[in-house]
Amino acid sequence: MLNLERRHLVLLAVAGCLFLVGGYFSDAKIPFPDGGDKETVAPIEVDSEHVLMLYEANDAAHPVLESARKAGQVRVWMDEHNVVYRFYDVTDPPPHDAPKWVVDAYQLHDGSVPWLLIANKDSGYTGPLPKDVAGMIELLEQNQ
Amino acid sequence: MIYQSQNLPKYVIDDSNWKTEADDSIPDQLGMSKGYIEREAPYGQGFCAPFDPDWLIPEVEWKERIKDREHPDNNLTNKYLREYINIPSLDQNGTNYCWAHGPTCCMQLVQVQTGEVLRPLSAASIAAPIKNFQNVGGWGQQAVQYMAKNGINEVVDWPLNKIDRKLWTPENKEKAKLNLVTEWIDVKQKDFNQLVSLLLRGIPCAVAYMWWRHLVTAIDVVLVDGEICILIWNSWTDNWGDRGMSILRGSKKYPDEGVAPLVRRPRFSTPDLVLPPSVAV
Repeated sequence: MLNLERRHLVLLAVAGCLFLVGGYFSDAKIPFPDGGDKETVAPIEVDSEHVLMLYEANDAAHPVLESARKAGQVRVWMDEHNVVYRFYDVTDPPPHDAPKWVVDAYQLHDGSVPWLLIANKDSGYTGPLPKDVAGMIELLEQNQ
Repeated sequence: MIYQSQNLPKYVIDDSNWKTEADDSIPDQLGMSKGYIEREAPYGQGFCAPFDPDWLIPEVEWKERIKDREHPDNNLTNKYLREYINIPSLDQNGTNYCWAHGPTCCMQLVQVQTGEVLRPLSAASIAAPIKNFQNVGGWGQQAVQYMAKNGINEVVDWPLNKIDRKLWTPENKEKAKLNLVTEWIDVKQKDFNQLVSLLLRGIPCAVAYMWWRHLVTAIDVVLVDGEICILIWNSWTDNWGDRGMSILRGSKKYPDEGVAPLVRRPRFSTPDLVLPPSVAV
């Protein structure tokens, strides 16, 4: 009886591992409340946390964008955690010789604004900006 | 910032002391008494955007918004951004190029707002060619329109305040095109609502004052004893005012010209100067 239970435990452990490994390679996306996608793989190839925000002039007063473009909590958090970041007006064409990660990130832009991409080695997020600074910091922490 | 009677800022220019800053002996020297220039839009490759009425922030919200932006948890003012990144004041160093330094200051602020490293820009690289390499005054609009068509050089390529035709080389002309203003907004003369609405949205604005015959950069709105005032950043080094900044109050705060570079083409960091088709001329 004891041997059977141990065998079941081993089988369960193996099944769990297969589930996790399968999830890792499946490019699965977990819907986020704001409509964005929490990605289980990095949306672009980077070796540390990178952030791109694309916006229109009308979005200038968006609290997350303002906090990032000025010296608000979002920018301070990113500086403290060595995040690489850029925030561009979507009407401005991407620079032709911009860093590869910026070019790659622009290619994923779906046309919506304000739009956010967070990428790290093995995780990321693409979608709308969170509504507030707390939501943005939470996203940054999740992809740290 | 929010100042009260018992804690008034030291550097305020208002109706009582403005003559200490303005010099009546040079009425036409800066060229600003010759009338507001007529403009065409779109101009060059840039786009003069009309002030969108939706951008107007109702006056009843101004004070609350100022308080929100000043809150230590937010720190959303351009003044705090300047301190955070430690950007020095511009220095026009005796030239009459204030009208080019204001838009240049705006460009630099917009540059750091994108998250890029500050690369100092040379106001002389736009003012000198516009004025045929003469040290004379002009308007912020002229500077911005020129930046939309030709761009602006970095200080490493065109030293600050250097008025020298030899610098206007084909190579420098190409490099300047990498720093184009692609969209800007005109603020109507004396329209305080438009100016405050821009500043509350974090958009710096080059503002010219006839009483001063000078152009500076409006970077924020502040409350002084309950009055909405304009925080300006001058181009007279950090030694002037409060680290180069001061506050305009009373009748002195209404600008005779206002122009806000809104979008600029991001600076390219490599020596490759091949322009994308949308930029090539």
